[in-house]
Amino acid sequence: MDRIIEIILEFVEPEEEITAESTLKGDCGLTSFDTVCLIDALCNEFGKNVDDIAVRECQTVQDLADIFLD
Amino acid sequence: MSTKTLANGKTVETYPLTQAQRFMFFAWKQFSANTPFLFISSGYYWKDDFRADLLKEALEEAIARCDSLRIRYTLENVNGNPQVMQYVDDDAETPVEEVDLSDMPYEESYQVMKGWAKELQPVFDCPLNTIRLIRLADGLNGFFMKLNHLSFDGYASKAFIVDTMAIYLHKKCGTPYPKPMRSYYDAMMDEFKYLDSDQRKADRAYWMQHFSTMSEPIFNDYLIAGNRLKKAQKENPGQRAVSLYEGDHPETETLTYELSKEDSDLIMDLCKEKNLSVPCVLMLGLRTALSAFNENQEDVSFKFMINRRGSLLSKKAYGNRWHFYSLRTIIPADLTFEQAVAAVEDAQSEVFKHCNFDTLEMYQVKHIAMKQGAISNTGTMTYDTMTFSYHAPQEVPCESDEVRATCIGVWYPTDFSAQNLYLTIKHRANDNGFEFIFDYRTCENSLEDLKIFYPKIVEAIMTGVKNPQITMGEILDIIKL
Repeated sequence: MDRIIEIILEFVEPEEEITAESTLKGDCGLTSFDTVCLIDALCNEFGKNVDDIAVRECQTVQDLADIFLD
Repeated sequence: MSTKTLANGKTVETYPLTQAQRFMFFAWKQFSANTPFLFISSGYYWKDDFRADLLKEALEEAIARCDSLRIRYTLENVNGNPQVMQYVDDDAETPVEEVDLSDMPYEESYQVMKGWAKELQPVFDCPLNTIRLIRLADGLNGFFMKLNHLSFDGYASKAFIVDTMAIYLHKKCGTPYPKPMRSYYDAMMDEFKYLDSDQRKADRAYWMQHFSTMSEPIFNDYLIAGNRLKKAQKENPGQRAVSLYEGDHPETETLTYELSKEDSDLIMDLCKEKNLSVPCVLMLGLRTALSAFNENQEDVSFKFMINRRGSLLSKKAYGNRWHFYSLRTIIPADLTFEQAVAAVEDAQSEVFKHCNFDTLEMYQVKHIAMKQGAISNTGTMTYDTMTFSYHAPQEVPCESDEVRATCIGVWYPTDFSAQNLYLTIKHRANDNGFEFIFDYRTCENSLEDLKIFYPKIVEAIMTGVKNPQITMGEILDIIKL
């Protein structure tokens, strides 16, 4: 989880600390373009190919972790 | 990379333009030469107990934090051909001049500043940027910026406003000093690294495959009586693309519409509640209006601007990162509004994954790959009816809600464009509501049709926002001409 948060922080500088419960668009402030870049970075980091639709349905950092740390 | 010795004896490293800059330069030379197209002018004003001394200091510090203001362009002889090169001149200064326009009505001062925006100025081996501290009537104060468009796109221009205001508030109110900006040089080097990367080869292969296997798109006009595809089809019934530029007339006018705060909030609230993309909702409204203007055509394409700012480096290094891509969606009538937004987002994401591949190269690949042989460059034959860009909000720091309510962000159009019709949607400075700005070439567009077009876009959006389960067919019935 820490690594996922570190990678998110390569894309945004949110006011509040990011936690597992942080929402991607609201709390983290990720745009659609950020999200595409983030998914690419996470795929490279964790060696996974993920389904676009599954990622689009991710609302929180925990949802991302469920996909990439599975 | 090569080197250049400046007039002061200093030697600097020079680099070619990035791909995004090359496209901007090409568009200027090809479609809008001898116009101030290569400059982007804006202003930001507000009412407070104004401290001109602190704003001037803030501007000077923001200038010092901004490499892009020190970029210069030069022509180098490369194998007998002039090539545009860029370098960062660390000694280049951008003085902040104070101008008092408070003795004239706001509209008159607007025209004065628009006049500055329209002034032609040289591009090579000379200062490029103007920043002025401005006093306006009725207690409005702030600053005007005329920035070189090769070095600043709309996002970068707004980022400079955000940084300046954060520094101003730090000085005036003791708020935290903003975090450091990033190096333009590093961002430029990233762009050059991509050119030799496996990712670029993969992106090229993706677009080649995409264009060689897709069905032929179709042009959907926003002109009613003057529908250009229908005219062309009288000569050639099977034609699906049109030529937009029959003459070289880059003169434009601007039509601006303000969406109410209430309706804007409804859009933003729905996007938050359902995790929808704001620009995709707006683009769905645009493509639905185009569909309605063309007998409910399900297959709609337009160009959209991608500023490619994902990483913090790309967000905080200023520069011009615009690439333009076609966004094609085929949306059947039985899809709900919410499903249709997802379809637009899927199409957008697919482009995003491969959008570092640059616009000019993409035109070339399209020309080689497409079975129909259409080039799909706006200068020749195109399926892309118009160009769309969405400027996501970058929150400008503000002292209080009372001061926020007085803030005005202004663009000063040059009245020249390389694009036939360019719709920019951005957020107002004072209440975050949407502003729809249509830059249209006067020689090719019917103002009357544009005045019908805008309400149809909004009606399509608001109908869907108020009832996300409504089908697109039902929306088309409601907004039909």
